Amino acid sequence: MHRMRMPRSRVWVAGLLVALVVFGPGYGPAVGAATVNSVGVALPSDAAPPSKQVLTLIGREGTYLDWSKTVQKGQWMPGLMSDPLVMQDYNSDIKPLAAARWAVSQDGRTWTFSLRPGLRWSDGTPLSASDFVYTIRRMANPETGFDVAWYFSAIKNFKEANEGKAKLEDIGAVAVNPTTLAISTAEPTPYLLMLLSDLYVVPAHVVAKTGDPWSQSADTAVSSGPFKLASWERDKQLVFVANPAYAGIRKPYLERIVYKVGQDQSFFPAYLSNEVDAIPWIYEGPLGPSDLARIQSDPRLRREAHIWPYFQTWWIAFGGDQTAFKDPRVRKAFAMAVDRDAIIKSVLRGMAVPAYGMLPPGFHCAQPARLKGAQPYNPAEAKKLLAEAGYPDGHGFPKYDLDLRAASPTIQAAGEAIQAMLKQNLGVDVGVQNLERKLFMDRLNKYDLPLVVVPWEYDYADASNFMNIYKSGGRHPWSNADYDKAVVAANSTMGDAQRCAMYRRAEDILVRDPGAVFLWHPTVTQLWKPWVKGLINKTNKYGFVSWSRPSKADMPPYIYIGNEKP
Amino acid sequence: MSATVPGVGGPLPVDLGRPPARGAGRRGWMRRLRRNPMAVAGAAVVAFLIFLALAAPWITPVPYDRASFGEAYQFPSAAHWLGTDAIGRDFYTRIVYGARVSLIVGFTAQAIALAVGLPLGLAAGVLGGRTDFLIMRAVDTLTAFPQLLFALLIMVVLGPGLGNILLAISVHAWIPICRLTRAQCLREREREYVEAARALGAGEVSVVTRHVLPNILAPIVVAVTLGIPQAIFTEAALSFLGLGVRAPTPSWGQMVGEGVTNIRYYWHLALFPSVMIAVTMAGFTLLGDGVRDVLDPRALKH
Repeated sequence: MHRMRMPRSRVWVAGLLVALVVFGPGYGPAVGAATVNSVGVALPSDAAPPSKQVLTLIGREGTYLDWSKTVQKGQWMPGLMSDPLVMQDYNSDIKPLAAARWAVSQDGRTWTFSLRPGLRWSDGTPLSASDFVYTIRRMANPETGFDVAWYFSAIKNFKEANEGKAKLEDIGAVAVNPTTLAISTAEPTPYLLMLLSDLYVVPAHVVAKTGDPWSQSADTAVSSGPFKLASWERDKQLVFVANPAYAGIRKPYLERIVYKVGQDQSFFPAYLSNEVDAIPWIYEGPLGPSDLARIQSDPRLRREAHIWPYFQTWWIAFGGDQTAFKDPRVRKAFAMAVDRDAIIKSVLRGMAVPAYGMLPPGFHCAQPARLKGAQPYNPAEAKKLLAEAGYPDGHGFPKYDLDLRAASPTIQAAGEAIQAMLKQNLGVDVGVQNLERKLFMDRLNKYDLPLVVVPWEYDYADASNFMNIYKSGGRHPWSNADYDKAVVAANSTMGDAQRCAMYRRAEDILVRDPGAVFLWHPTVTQLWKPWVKGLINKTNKYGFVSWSRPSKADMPPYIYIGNEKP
Repeated sequence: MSATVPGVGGPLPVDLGRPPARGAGRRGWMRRLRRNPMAVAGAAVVAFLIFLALAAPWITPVPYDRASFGEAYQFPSAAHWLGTDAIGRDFYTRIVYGARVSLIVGFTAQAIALAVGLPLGLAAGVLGGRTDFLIMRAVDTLTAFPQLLFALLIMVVLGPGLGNILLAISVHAWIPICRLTRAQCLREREREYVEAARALGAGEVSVVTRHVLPNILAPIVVAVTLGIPQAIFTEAALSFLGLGVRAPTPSWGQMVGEGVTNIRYYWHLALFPSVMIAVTMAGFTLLGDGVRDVLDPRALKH
């Protein structure tokens, strides 16, 4: 009779097996609980587990991660650690961020922002309107040495304070109460919100105490943004982690962002060997013509590459009245001696479109077809003009250097192309000099460079962003009163059609004078690994995929790592 | 073998010993050189480079700065033997003209090094005392700076250009010559023939130029020859970093620098100038070794 009964142990084992099958971990997702990361964001169903939500990037290293101290030498991605009042979304439209709503006064000169309640710094201190006031005053303060102070000159008395002609307290930025900020502009400024999307607020209570180095170490770099600095090893990498104290509206999927520091030439190999998840696009592109050829010939890389025409313009700028370029005939001769189509086809391997004016195709107020014949390639006419100006066949023309700013080999080759064209078409000898960035900008701002090739990349989608560059007193010595009048008037007109008409009039002056020789608008190539998902895969209203301003960190809060990452 | 010398009662037979072997002694250097295949190879390379440099305008189809924008980034073909660069310049032409820069830098830098280092070394070695002290302290100070870094610093301050490169390289290049000369002098100073010359009333200058110098020339010639590839490499390194000759003058180092970023696809842009630098350096080094073997004092003893 023993054999008829099942042994007790076997019953237990069977029961255990059943329990495991019904309640075991393998059934977790099916039961319905989504995985949540360390800051409380539910990850999508195809996301990798939180421990693998790490985005690895590679780029150049800057001095401070503080865009109220320096932009041109600054470390990229200030938007990880700071929420401006407003942001530019995927379509380059303005959306609320730190400010919940705003209103403009009747005369168009005062904007009042109401901050979202509950915002705070990662050390617990509440984010206050006075932090924004502090940041604006810091930028204007000449002692800070902020290198793009002209950018915010629309704010009342900002420029005067920066030049020492007014007190910092006179600047049109007032904290009405801890959650209300009032900004006044000298003239009605329709694009003010675009400017404020680049105002990366800094913690007044930390900066006042620690000074400039506050952003360089994890102990003092408090953040009001979706991430905070976990470590910064110079020449090696920066590590950002999701900020648990963040109370804003763009809580991230990612747990960590690792920003490796490297030289331009190392970006593509790093991408190919899966050491990084993306190549963030950088000035002039870390991808050279041979890399582009390689991408074109590889179907897998072609799928991972996102190419779009970028809102960036390259042009030749001239020195001032103490150079031979004082004579407009010389400038015209140079303009007609450069064959931009040839440069694009040869040096740039077709990865650009010719530039006939300042505004890139598709940009606010741009109408490039109108200017197509204004600076044509015409070597015969160029020679004639140069002879009329007193330099037949280039005889007696002073020996200048064509200066480049920290140029990649591709741009260096473009510089040599221009050198060859000037020699062949005009008989003029120019040297090609590649200057380090800071040295170049210091000398450019002092009007010390006779001939340069420079780019300008857009910061916000408004024509003023480009047209303000050539206002008198900017970074180039060319000055024209009619141009100034037209641009200043357009900057403070609220009606869009009239504004564009004025900007186009100014652009005509700039192109035909010529104040500059416009060369090309590059197309941009970004590479993203297929396991990086989210906003990156959406097409925006311009038809571009993975559109973002990589230096500002618009994209990271909206992407996640898919579970197919090896 | 035997010969006769005049004697009191008539010619006296003299035994001159065995005749010198063929190829020994100073006169046999060409034969010795020929028997050393590596040296011959080195000499052939150097001769070829000199030919390239001199005959450049006649053996190239176009000027080296002729840009042809429709033909950029072309691989080697019948039309362009070594392809074209980023702005369509014929790469073969630029390689050939690059030989000029390398050879000018190599020979001139070593000539300056010799002109400066030899007299200073002789002064230090023969005169001794305070002169020696001062010169050696100068040598020590300059040696404290790594050569390439020092050259870089000079180029950054002075700006690019061939003259500045020669200055930057020469500043360090004279030191090995000076040291070698001084060491050789110190050795020769103790020899009997110097003592004898002094005893016969020769002045210092005469001792140095007529007695010591001819005996120490061999190792110095070798050092100068072996210093040429060093100078060429330093120029290539400076040009690679963008601090060398000014565009559009072609320099192999600068061409490597431009080509390196494209190496994954347009391989010809970095490969050919690198090969030329390597071959040039190997050629001069082999020649220098050959010269050393040829002038080796041991061969003179037979």
